[in-house]
Amino acid sequence: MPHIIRQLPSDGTAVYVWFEAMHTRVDILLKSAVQDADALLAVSGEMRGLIERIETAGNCFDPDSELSRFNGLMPGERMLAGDCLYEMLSLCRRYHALTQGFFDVSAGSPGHTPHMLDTMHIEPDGEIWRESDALRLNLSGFIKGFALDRIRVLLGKKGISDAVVNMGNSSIMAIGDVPVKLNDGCLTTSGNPPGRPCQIVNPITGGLVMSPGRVEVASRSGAEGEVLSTVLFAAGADPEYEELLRSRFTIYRITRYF
Amino acid sequence: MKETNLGRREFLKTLGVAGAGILAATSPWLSAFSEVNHTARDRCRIGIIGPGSRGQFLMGFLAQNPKADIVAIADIYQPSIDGALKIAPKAKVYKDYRRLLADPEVDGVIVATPLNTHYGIVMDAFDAGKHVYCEKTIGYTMEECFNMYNRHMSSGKLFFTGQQRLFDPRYIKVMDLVHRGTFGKISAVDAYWNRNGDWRREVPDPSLEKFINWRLYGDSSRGLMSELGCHQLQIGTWALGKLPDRVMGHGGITFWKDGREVHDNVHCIYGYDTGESLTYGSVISNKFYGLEEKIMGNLGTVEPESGKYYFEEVAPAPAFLQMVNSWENALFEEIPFAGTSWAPETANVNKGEFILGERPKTDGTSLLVDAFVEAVITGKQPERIAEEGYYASLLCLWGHKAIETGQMLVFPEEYKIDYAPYGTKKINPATDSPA
Repeated sequence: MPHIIRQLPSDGTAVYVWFEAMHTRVDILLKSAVQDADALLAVSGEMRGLIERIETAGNCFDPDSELSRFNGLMPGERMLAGDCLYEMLSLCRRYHALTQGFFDVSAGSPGHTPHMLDTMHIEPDGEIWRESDALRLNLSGFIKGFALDRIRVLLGKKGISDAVVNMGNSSIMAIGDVPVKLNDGCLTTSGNPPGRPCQIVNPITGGLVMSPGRVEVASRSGAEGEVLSTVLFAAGADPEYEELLRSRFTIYRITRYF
Repeated sequence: MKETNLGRREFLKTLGVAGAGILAATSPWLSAFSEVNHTARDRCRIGIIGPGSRGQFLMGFLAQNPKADIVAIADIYQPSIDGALKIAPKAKVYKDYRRLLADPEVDGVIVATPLNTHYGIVMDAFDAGKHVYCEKTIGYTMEECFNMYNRHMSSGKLFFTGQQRLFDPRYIKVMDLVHRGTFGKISAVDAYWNRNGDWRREVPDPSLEKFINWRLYGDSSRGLMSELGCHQLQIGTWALGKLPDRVMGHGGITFWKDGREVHDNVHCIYGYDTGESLTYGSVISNKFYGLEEKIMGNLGTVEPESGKYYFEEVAPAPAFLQMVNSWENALFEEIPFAGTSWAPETANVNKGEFILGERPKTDGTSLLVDAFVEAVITGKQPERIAEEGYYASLLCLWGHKAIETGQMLVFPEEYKIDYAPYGTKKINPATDSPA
């Protein structure tokens, strides 16, 4: 794995690694006053492994992923979900409710209806199944933020408190004493970049959100940031709705670019 | 090249390290500066043997070093003496270097004479109890180099060689990255030094032709291999961490057919028993590709001379490099993050990244001279510095021999010294000598 190691004047060690995952590049910068370069590189390797496991679970573009298998189940057919997919689907259902349906990972399904996500079933024993073979889940607008939250837990276990993780410039986490000031939080972005096809579906209307621009959300959680930036872009500027979201999520900052 | 003295603190800051000990594994000779604070009030007395253009260049650094006094010079060429006295007006002048060596007020000498004279001067210097800094290539033959190294060992006197890249911040940083595996498995090092010029110096009188242009004649020089290759072959062994075991080469005089005896183009391939290769070439009738050493790993390439490295697949992100390079600063500009999901970021054109944040103020020569001064004061030989110079000299002389014979040569066992990771043979300086 390519990396750069730097001994810091304060007797700390910084390690920067980068690689490709989740259809984009991942940049990781770790700093520690007590762990040496080899230890930081080992943690970087675990982070990469974690990201790859999450991608294997929830990448709908990978025909071998768990999620693709789910999307191909016969109605009523059950499969045992791994812990990553199980947690992601559980969270997506919860956020669907908290956003009044605007966050909907089933929005791209053919013949989508506002209640289509209700045809996804998550059983307490870890099994998942779908009622309708039209249900197609796409976690692209969520998976990187989820990965950031899992990485934060991993870093905590490893005793690393200073880190920056950037996944494709759209999902960034900065914790501890680092140059990126995010209040130990995440910065996530959703929108329609100039010259690129629209990719966000308005789950209420069922149509693609055609308006240009993007929404950036700084929040405590990466997964919640992904949800919030997506729904704020899809819903458009609506102060009342934004206030509702602020009451339900920990939001540091919302910035709109149009 | 115009250079300025770079202080140790600034030097280490340039490397982004907290202390010299950090780089001990890659560049152990930096230990020369380990007692720099304790020696703050000490001085040493240096004599210069051969204060020609290179000798005066080195004297310039000594003159800036408050711990060094240039107390004597020795040369047989008056213009060199005149030039040297402008730098060190109080230096005693000797026409015979042996009188300088007999001077008890000289602690160490810098030898910057033509290649074929190094051996006698350096051996006499050790016998006279002087510490020695000898310009590269240290000897005219491999046997001379071996004997010089052993005399250094048996005398207990310091032995430095003019391998300034050992103290070049770019190279030190590069080797740290290479040895940490940043660029993956290194399979090859491709070094070259190309110029377009006749390599001649102006001669005031035809009778001085061989004296002034000694580099062009076979009885005083090994040509491009000894004068240029010596620097770069050391980079190959430094990067790969081992010694090649075979070499083949070719050379010729194709353009500068002006009576010179040494080749104007040379190329050598050095092979390692584990499959890696080190190639070296020098042409002095074409300068397009200039000077470089390409260190090639499966993850990336480093070009220390241009100060850049390139990754094969995904380049590092400029914003993160900015953070890495500037972490010590408390305030940061907003880094240019934020885009939308699934946006590919891999650049189509790999422009590479800079090894250091800024171009270093030194190519290492000033620090090499400073290190010699420190060592003369402390009397401590920095680890591996003599051995690096020894093997650099041997590789260029061995390559030259391959060119001359047209044969693939195996590295002579009798010239291996006890030097991990290269050495395979224990040397007893008191009894061992080459066959």
